[in-house]
Amino acid sequence: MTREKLARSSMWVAVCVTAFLLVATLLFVHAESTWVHTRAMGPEETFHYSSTGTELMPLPVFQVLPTLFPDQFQPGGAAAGDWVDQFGFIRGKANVNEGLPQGFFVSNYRPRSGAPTPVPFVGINCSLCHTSRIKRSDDDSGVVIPGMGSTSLDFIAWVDGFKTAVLDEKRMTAKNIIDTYERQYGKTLSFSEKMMIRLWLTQTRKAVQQTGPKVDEPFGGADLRNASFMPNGPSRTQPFRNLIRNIMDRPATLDRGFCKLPVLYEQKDREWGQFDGSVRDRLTRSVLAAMAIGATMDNLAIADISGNVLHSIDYTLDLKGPKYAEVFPDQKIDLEKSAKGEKVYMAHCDSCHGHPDSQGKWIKGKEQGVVFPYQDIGTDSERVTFRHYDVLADRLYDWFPAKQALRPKREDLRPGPLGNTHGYIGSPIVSAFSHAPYLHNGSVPTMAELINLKPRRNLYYRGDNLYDPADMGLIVPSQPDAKRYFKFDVTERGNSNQGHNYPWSYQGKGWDQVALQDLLEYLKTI
Amino acid sequence: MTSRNITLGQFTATFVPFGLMLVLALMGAENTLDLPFHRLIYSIWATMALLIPALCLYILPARTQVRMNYWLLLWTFAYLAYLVHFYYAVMVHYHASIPEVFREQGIRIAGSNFLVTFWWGLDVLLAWFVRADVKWIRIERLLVNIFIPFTFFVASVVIFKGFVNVLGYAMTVSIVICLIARIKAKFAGQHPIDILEVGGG
Repeated sequence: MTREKLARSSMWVAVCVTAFLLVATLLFVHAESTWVHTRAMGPEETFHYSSTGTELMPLPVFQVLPTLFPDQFQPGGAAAGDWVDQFGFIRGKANVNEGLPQGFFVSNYRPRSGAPTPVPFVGINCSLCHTSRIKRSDDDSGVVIPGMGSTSLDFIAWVDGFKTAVLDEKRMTAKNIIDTYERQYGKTLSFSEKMMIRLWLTQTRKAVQQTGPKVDEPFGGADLRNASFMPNGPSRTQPFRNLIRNIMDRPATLDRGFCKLPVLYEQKDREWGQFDGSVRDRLTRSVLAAMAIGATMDNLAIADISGNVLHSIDYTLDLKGPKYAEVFPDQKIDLEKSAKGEKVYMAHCDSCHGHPDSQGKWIKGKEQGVVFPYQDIGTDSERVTFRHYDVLADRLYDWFPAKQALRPKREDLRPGPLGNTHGYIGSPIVSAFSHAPYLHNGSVPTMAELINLKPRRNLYYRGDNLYDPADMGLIVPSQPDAKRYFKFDVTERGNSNQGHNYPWSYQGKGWDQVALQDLLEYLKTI
Repeated sequence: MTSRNITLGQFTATFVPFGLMLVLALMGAENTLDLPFHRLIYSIWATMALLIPALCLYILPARTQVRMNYWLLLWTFAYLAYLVHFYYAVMVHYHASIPEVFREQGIRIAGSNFLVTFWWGLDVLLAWFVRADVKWIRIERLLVNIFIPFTFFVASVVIFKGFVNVLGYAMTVSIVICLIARIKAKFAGQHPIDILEVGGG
């Protein structure tokens, strides 16, 4: 072969190889869309198992983290149970949804961008915070109730433990993750899984490191259970802390605007969401909640993900709350006392909260939906006076591009054209017994204390608290144990259990113990 | 179509870098969590890497058929790479919404981007199918070769930060060097004075 022929042949080879690579790449790009497996789900299934754009980490990483970091995921020690128990998650079923606890989903979307990936990712959805379990003893499997705010989930502590693990450059390595997975499951991870683990770890660590100067390093280990460092505690959230951090780029370190994880029953009856009635449109509520935990406008623009958010909202519109009599079939309700209690309720509670009619339809109270100044109610003010409270609504609104599909209407956010909300909104109390712990900040464990039949306790321990049907609320010990570890001190900022002294202050003017016992009995029926 | 006798060597020398850079741009983004965004970024890098030599070939003196062939191929492949960037920008990043593009970028930037896309594509077609010695074509080509580097300069040097600045400065320096070479050649009498006597065939 002459030199010229050789050169020509080489050029042809180069052109053909390049063309082949180009075509293969284009086919690969086209095939990416097949990595995402969408299937039709009913509303309840969507609520529990679908992606809301909040993917966190590759499934293999999720599965080995507790093994690699028992110090972060079992901060109470091995005797206090596994990570599911220690952070108050609800254990899943072995063959459903990869056996993950309630509220975790598996998808083939990459975090934040929503780009397809062949590697399954784990994320969290509405069901995580808005599904709970009522237990009456530690070995009771309990009753799982969709739509009820979790009474045990210590999610902010779990996130800090996770971030601490990510920052551990010695133990949290791709090699350790891969080796541990292969040892634990006796399976070899694919090339794409290994590559994705490396990629995810590098970028996630960088992202966590970058937030350090603004929000400080996360807490870890035993500190995750220390109320001095992690003041949020189980069954509560700080709904606007992450929005201030993500949208306003401020640390929100002084924020103590705690609120309990709310119930989501019959949302069609609630015009304004949040305990202060600051967000009206349901889609906006859900989008802001998803964005606070990692969803972006990019992945929420994906039809499958936005459809999941909408279907989850639809699920809650008519979601029925549980009946006391069905959850506690052994508890007899005294109908005579209940009838007397109804009169007390109608005289003192109905105006703000409304009541169910004989068919169970909620009849709106005269002042239901009205925002009452916190000074009038006397409950903790941190939730409605936190720093940036007055400007956050404007900043949220401005953050969405004009005419962006998810952009809220300005009048659907307060403070705004429809007024200021330095107070708390009168809301329906469907399935009242399942709203425990009570008040917006979850500072009152039982209904008996909320209505001032019994004195409110000032220091107790929260965690995986059992349920007391008699007092309609959580059993909170005065000393910690392995499952009840979080010191709830009502004198701490954001934890006040004062106010809402209806019908009467404890042993104050007009206080009527018998009437309150009747009221408590009635409250078991609604 | 005009007769250009593009050789296998010329095609190989331009197609292979184009193909490999596009493969790297699309597949390299797999190594990121924000896949579409990085495809958008990497494809504009590939575009500029092909655009710079094309612009140089357009400006440099001594018009030959070989140079015009290389210019045409690079000009075309740079545009194809740009179309990939345009797809990820408009169809993915801006969710296939022209109003969103204008909202996010503003009328001046979005308008000039759409004009670049249309005009460059038109010029590629003209370059392949219409003789370059027609005067209006030469005027059109001169204008597009002023407008496109200008918009790329604004984007890659003024607006955005990162590796694209390196490409932006490389493009700027290359253009300046080529212009100097052309002006020197002009004063040395090596090249006709006609300003339109530039670029591909």
